[in-house]
Amino acid sequence: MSIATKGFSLPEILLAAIILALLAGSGFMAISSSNNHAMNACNQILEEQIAREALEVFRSIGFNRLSECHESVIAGYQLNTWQPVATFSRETGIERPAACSMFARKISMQLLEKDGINAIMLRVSVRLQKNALINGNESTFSTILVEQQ
Amino acid sequence: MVELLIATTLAMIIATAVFALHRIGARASIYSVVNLDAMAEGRKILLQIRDDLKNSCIPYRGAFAISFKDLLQIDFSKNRGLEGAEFSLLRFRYEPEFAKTALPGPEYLLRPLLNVRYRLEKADSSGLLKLIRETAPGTSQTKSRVLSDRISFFNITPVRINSSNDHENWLWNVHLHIGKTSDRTVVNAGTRSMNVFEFYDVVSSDFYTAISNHRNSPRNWHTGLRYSPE
Repeated sequence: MSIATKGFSLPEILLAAIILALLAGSGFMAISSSNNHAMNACNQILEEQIAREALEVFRSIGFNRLSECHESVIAGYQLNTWQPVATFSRETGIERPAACSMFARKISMQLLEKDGINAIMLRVSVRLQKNALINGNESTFSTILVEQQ
Repeated sequence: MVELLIATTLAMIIATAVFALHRIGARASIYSVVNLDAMAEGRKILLQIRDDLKNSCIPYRGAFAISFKDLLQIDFSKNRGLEGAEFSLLRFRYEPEFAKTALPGPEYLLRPLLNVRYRLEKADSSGLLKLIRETAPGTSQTKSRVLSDRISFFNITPVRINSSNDHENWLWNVHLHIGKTSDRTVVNAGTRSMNVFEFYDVVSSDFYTAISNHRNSPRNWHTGLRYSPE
């Protein structure tokens, strides 16, 4: 056996290194994707809590008072515009976790009428603010408040 | 010789990268599992508390003026901070119960009541607290269940919201912090590091809201389901 045939040549090693680097890169991507999924799950829970808060407050106010109200702000909640979620609301006294400040919320109301039954469709959309370090989708939650005689 | 050196260097770089990948991967996966576990636990506790508060009530004993603060009794009187704090309420159960009465007239299905008490106790192994839910249906024995043993903060505060000039709505603001202790840090640094997962919720009582929004609604509205076996 000649000396030239012993071991691997430099191009072979470089090729192997490139393949290993690609594999390592895909491993990093998988970890990063897993982290993002875990982070998204946490964000989804927060989004749900933020939306549920507004739905609960409006539900407690009830159809009758909401339908009489023609202002753009109800109980400290601005309607039809994206508003940043603060950790403390001076108007309502509601305290929220610090992470909520990463989110923005939009509340909209729509009057419905069918067969003499009146109702309000309440929609709450929550999304991460544009300056947040991570990306996320917008989530929308809704409920229907029916008029009570 | 040069080839050997290059090969060794490349092998070392690759080995370091693979080791780092393995370490980061293991840490990230543990972190994700712990995060999701805490999130699921917090969410489950909040859903339970929400269900209790949503169905909270006051027993009807003739005409009375209902006060929101009567729905939930908060007791910090043991003066040990959060440890020993108690939150007690009376709630409706979902299963209706046939009212056995000797009186003549229409018969009713009643929604029986349940005493619910949330209690904070010191957990054995850490500086965290145990959240215990105790229920006592009528005269039967009290049932107790530990919801979590890693609570770092828990409180339920009443919140008043002015929906119009002449009306105010009352709700509860629930705060729950679940702590996570890191054993690795305990070993390395001799101190305990703690990450906290914060949860919150805003809940109203259906019973109180119905009466508050509709002043003429019957106080015993929850007992109005007539039962006709025939």
